[in-house]
Amino acid sequence: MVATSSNHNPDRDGEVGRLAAEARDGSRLAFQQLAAQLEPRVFRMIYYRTRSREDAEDICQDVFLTAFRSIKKLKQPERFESWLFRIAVNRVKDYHRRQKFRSLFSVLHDTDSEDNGEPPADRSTDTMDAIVRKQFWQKVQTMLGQLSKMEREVFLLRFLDDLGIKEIAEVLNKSESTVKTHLYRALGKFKNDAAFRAFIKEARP
Amino acid sequence: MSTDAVHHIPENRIIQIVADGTGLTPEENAHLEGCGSCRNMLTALEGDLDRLRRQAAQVAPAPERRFVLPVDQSEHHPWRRWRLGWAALGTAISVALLVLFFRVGGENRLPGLPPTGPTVAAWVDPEMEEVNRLAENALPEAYLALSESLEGGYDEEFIDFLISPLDSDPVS
Repeated sequence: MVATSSNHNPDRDGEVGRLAAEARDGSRLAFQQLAAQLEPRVFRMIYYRTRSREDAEDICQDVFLTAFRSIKKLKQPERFESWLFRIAVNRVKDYHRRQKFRSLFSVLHDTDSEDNGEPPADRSTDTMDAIVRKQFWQKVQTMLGQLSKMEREVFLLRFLDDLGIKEIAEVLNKSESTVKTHLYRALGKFKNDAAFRAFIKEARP
Repeated sequence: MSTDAVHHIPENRIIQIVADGTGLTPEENAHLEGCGSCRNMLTALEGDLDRLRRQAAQVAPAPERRFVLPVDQSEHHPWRRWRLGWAALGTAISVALLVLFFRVGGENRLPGLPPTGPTVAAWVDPEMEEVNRLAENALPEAYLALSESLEGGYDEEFIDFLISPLDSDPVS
């Protein structure tokens, strides 16, 4: 019978660990390879939380630059991925703090921001794409709105960013049992959200 | 396998299985083989989460900028060492040229600095000339012309008149 599991590939994880060890020892080429491998995932992870391509790009650059500058401090290269996601989660938190601070002083708000309390949506030249994208994220936002902050973060890391329980615990610096508790609650709410699940089944982005 | 409601896999356990991503126990596997209700619940939940993940990835744009490592500015980089070496050599040559220019540059030298090299023998410091002249005779020549001679022309008798000799002193 099918059982959900993380899409982690041990070979790929081993490769990441080896490259991280080389990068820690000063190989710029190894770090460049790591970035090429992980950048799309890290970018998506940030985009899911900012919904702005430009901001996600900026934060993503910052995440890899921070990782590059501090990789010498990394004690366990095999945990590079969790370490990188941890940096990313913290950068996203900083971003939201800044957004909140700015919104206190800004009089004019973007229409999208007023509609759903989200950062400005990505500007797309294709109108249909933009509509579908906007509708999708609005639904996701409504579903996530039922979850507490911790449940939301754990849910996103597990089911959208595809991290395992152990990695999530490392990223959030929480125990595995704490992560599981929040994840079970979040998944229970998702399971009972029939409207959202129906939308997911019908949606064709 | 029994499909009685009593033996259904509890909803919490279904959630656990999906969330943890761990395998099923042999008993659970056996139950699912014969229980459409539990199997549907599990596969539907897994399917919806999988759809959510794929759809989110599809609606997320691709980054237009790629991460590029910053230029290595380490001191240990060979080309940087070369550059620093050339810069130091250039500075040293510039300083040497400046010193040469001001020390032997003739009329363009800095004011107050004595010339050096072949011209030093012909040059007399005007201040030292005045000091030497005063050491020889502190009075200007106009005053010297009033006296009889450079030695002053003192009369010894006149001195004796002013200061009596020791042997004629009644006290001694």
